[in-house]
Amino acid sequence: METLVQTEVNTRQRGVLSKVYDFFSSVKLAVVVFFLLAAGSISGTLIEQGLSPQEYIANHGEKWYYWINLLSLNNVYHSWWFSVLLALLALNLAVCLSKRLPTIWKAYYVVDTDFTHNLVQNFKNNTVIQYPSGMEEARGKVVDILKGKKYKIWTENNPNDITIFAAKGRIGRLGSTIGHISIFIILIGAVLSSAIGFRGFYPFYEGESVFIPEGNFYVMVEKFWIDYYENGGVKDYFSKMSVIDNGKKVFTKTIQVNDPLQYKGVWFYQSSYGQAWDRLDKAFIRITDKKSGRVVADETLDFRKEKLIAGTDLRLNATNFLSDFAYDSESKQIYAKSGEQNNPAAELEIYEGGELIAKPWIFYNYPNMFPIEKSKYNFILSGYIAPQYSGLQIAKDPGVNLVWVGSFTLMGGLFISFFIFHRRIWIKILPSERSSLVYIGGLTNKDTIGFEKEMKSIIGSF
Amino acid sequence: MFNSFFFFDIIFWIYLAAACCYIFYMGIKKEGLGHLAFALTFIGWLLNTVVLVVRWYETGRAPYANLYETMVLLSWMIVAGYIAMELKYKKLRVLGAIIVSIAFLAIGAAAMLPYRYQAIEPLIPALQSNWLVLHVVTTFIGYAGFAIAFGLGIMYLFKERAERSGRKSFFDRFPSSEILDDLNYKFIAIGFPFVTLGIILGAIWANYAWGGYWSWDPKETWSLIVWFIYAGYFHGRLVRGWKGRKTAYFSIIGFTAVIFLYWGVSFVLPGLHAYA
Repeated sequence: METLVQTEVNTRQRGVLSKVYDFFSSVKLAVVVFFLLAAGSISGTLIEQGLSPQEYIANHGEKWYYWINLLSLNNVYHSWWFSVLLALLALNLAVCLSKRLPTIWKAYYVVDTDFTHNLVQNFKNNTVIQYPSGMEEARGKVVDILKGKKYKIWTENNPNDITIFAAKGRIGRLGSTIGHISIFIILIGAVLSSAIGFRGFYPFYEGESVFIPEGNFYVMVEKFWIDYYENGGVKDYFSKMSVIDNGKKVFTKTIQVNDPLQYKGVWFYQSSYGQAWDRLDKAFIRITDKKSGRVVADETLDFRKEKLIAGTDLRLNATNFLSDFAYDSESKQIYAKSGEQNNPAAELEIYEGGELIAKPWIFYNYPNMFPIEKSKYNFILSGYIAPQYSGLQIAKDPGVNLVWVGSFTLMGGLFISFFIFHRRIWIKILPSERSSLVYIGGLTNKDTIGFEKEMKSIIGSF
Repeated sequence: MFNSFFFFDIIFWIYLAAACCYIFYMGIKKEGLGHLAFALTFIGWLLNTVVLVVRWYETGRAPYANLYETMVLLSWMIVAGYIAMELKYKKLRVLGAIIVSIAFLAIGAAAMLPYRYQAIEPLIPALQSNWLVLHVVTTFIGYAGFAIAFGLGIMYLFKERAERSGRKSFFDRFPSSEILDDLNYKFIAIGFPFVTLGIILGAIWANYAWGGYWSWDPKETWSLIVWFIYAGYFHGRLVRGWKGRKTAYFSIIGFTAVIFLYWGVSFVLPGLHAYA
């Protein structure tokens, strides 16, 4: 009784398992997943990715933003559903592979010398040749012809007949398996890239050394410069970089676009350049007398360096700068809205008679918008020099090598699969009166027309 | 006077003449016309080579940096593929009626580009790399394979319909639908590995220049979609045994996606590949 129940449970379990197995190995699943991946990818190229909520609402309206946000259409390629689809694809791939592998292996491996002449006549490409001498001579002829066509040959002498099996290009069978395993490897590499890889942008200023936590060393851009074409277009831009590890300058390299620097697995790519948005070299301040409007002084301030203004009791210090001044009323924070020089503003500390009397933001585009009450002077930001930064992309990606390995084997798999055809020929030689009968039949996995030509040429060689 | 635009204008007319000869040859069964068509095609192709070489000399770099230059390269490859096919299968001369027409259309489209797309511009820093040549050439071998397969797919649909009706028709001189189907497969089987290689070389280059092998930029995304479509073609054909009409439609849909990848993305969807 007990064993009976046990078996029943087993078959029921197997039923569920095989259903799951069937589901994941079905071509339908593959088609649906491919279709959804394609549709998702297209949506990501049609809807701009990675904008702020305000920008989506401005572009598409409140109602659409609800859906964009709900379905992560603002970040399609990193959304949970895109990851789920990729995972389903990988699972489908793995199950299909395991299902097909035995068949492929058999076609690749098996040498078939156990067949009858009736079977040979069942192939689409088959013929019978009357060869005007004995079986051994016929066999020698067949082997010669097939060797000439670069076939690998197995022969067996039986009591009543001779069996010959010939094949070439059997590695072509493995192309698709290699290709599919390669895609699996690439997917694993991509997962590693996004899980433990690191990619970021950092603006470097000349002479400033920056700690790189991913590699536990410092790098410094010693010099940054741009080369121009005669027509004024940018030809190339360069950063002379040095790596400082353990307090010692380890090495120096001048990088440019398409020529990065690598140290301890961290890569530094020249990707852009621009004017600083949060610092200055020089600020030009014009001081006027409130009453007369007369210019008292035109002063050049070094950034974050107090300066005594001759002929007055003023001391000034430009302590902060923003290229595109903005104020967030919620967090009560000021910030640069963009890297562009849209609304340049400097924060100025004003000391009069040794006492800090005001610390206003003064705006390049809006002079004298907020006069300083306690002072008899007006302060105008009449100009500034912001330093140029060298924009570097910094990346450390342990997954990338797997991606290259997968790509390499994928190419191998594709070329093997498309350009090497598995051709098999079955031959049976039977005795006949003072001659022999040669039954030839053949099969190819691809390139039927080419194989038909080869068969014709083989038969014509007798 | 003998600059690349001069030779470009000549190949425009020669390809047009060659395509017309092939089309008339399809109707009038005069072998002389076929020889003329082939001779014109071959001369056109030689001058197409001259355009590329002169352009190389004029720009001082491999001339594959913008839409116009790559269109000249594409027509060169399509015609090269066609000439190879005609030399290999001598009886298939009528195929030129469609395939040389496609090459002519490529040149025509390049001719219609506004001048700023045709002008010689110095290379922007991102394109100054040997990877440019490898990436572009492999990708365009792939595109050319898909373009020829597209032409064969269209011919297949006409021929197959004519065969089914059993009546005498304009398409009698086409090769049999079976041969068209086989050739269609062969050219996609050339195009697919090369486009795959082009995508991989692009990824290697992107990793070297931008610090990441895949950025989901529209060009990259659409290249993946094209890759999916042709991957679907092979699965249908090799696993499910699809032949004939289904795969002919597939090669047409696939090439439509290639056109969008090549032109549509460049003009409609901005991204890292904005230059071509």
